Amino acid sequence: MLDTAGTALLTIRVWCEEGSEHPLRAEIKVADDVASGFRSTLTFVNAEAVVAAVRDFLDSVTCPAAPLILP
Amino acid sequence: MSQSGSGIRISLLGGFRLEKEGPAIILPEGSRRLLAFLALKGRLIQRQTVAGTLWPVATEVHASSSLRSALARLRGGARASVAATARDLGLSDEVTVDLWDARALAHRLLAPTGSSASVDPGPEAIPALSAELLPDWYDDWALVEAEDWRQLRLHALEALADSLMTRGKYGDAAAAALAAVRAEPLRESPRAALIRVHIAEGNPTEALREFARYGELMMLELGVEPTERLRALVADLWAVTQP
Repeated sequence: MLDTAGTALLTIRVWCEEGSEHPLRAEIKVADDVASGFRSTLTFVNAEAVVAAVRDFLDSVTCPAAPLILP
Repeated sequence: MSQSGSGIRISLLGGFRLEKEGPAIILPEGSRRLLAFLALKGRLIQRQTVAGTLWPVATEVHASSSLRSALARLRGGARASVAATARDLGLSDEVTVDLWDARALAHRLLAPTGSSASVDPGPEAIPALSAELLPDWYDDWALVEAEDWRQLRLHALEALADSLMTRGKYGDAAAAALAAVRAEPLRESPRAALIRVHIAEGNPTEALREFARYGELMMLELGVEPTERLRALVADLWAVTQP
């Protein structure tokens, strides 16, 4: 789980390699907490993998809900 | 890289640094971010915009207060680096910034050959074009500028490699291309620049070795082959290198 005391960050940098069978390139960098720097860098060649990586990132962020206050 | 006069120097490449005729001046974080932001913009910016950009999640009142604090904590020689009016903030005329010089160098390298702006720099340009802009800074405004600089310097390094290669300076040309490869290991154009240098130098074996290294990396990391264009670049070399 990510440390939500700070701010988590995910950046996607995309470019195309013309002439490639799979021309999309998407480099994803993830920082659990921007105070401690990027934790990982991965590059993908298809959009579905990028979407999955973003979803994994969001799933790993813990955002505690406010306690339920009964009337 | 020029360093005019005896004024204040702000470095953003490879990390933030402020110097005035001596050792680096140590500043609190808010003041460093303020100077870095003004150095990136290179022009007068409204105080309100500066505060809102540097402290985006704070209320307007709190952001303005943080900006005043950042200005107040610019002590000693650092205070002279900022030109302030009631409305705007910018850097004073005596400040030079390494990024400004490096950007100018990159644009000269990318100017069309024969134009007044084009130059034939030597290997001394490689270090300036190899440095990242504010590494480990994660503010939105810094990330966008860092990416702009990354793109510019990669193109400039490739142009430098081609220019040095054309002048027969193969070792320096390879160093420039390698700097681009290190910045973007999976991108094809820096690798093609390096392979072209090896071919021009009459070293087909090294060109093929570089092609093979890239192919292995691509297969390992992405599961794809190099493009047809890159394969065509080395297609004629296989016959030459056969025993």
